[in-house]
Amino acid sequence: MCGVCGNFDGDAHWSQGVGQIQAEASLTRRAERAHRIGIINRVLQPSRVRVTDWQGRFYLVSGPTGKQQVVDSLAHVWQAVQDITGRCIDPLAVPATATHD
Amino acid sequence: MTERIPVNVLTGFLGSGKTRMLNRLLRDPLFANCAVLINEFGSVGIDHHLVDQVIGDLLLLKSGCICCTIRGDLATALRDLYTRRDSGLIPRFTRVVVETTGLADPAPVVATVLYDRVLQHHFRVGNVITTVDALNGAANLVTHPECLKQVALADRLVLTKLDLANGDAAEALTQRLQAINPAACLVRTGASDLDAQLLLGDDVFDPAQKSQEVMRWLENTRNRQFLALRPPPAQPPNPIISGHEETHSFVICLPDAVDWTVFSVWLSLLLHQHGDRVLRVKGLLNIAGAETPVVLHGVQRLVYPPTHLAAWPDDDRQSRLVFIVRGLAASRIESSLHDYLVNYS
Repeated sequence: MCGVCGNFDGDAHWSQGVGQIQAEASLTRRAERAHRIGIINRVLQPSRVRVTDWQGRFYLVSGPTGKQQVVDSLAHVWQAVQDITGRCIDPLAVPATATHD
Repeated sequence: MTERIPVNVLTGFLGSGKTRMLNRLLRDPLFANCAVLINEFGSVGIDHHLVDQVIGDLLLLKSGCICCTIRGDLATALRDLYTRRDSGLIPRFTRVVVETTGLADPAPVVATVLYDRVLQHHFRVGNVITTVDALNGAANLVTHPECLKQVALADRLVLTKLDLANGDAAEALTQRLQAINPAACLVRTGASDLDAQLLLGDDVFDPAQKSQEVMRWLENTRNRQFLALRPPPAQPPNPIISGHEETHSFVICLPDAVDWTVFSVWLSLLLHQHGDRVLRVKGLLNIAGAETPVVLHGVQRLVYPPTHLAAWPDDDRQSRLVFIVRGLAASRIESSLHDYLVNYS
């Protein structure tokens, strides 16, 4: 548990940590997380859903109509997007489009 | 933290020879410090000469092996076993083998070990060993989806009853098994001894063995057709669902180093959407900026914590991913991955 904010730490997701081994330019946990959120937002851009970091521990998923969900791992982000928009994001169905923030 | 105890899953369809193999393995010196979780003692028919002592629901064998029945759920059985080990009531076993029933799906067993909040600190997943009957295996693969899934999820495939099967039929079954799960190590049993070390001891999560194990499954997939990553085809797009529910495997080769974050976002989305059709994903990844490769291992929606190798196992620096899927078109997975890596890296 975080001694400052009182948040319980959850299970580490398999996607976390591997990026931090990147040699001398190693990413900090926060930097890796920011990079991940940037990519997720580019993937989600067509659905007008945005993901933001919440206290370095959770993800805040916000839909175009103001619906929001707080989730704790990457796996849950996709379910939250589905709940908020009522649509699935299928990586095999929708050709990815390049968006440059 | 003390070293976590490997948990092997022994599975196989009804009548495929799990029990016979377990009985043979129980006599192996490598099993001296093993705990075996079975559904009921009667079904295994442990030779009474092997039994040294009976403590409640436990049998202590003369070899030092412990046999225990699963009375409730697996998580409780494993926790109880660990508590008794820790308090000195039973010998300090160094490996657990869970024998499933013939119709069981091994994935929930793996999930229990991987994600139970208590167990994950004391146990880790070892090899999944699947027995396939050379006599009836081909028919079972066609008529029983449970059998197909047990094969797809295996790290070791043990072909049993070879003495009863026709040679051509056994060869055809061998080829079918290799087509379904090219990364698994195929062991043909006969009258000779089983290699318990190969079946149980060598696994990709053992720091001492993981490099050798990666080499082994790379070698098994070497003769497979590799799909070089390529841009998505022009119109019309490939169908997502391949039109039939056949289980098939393929290997995707990535010549360039991969942005781990992009790759993990793609894979998590793929598994979220199609996890029930992606039976297995195994891979060796060249991560951008890293000197050594990362080993990836997933069973449906479960992905094991990626593990780093100390060095590349061979001269090939390409990432290699083995997929075993049911009813998904390989070309769509390949072009989707290409899209993500090109557009989001």
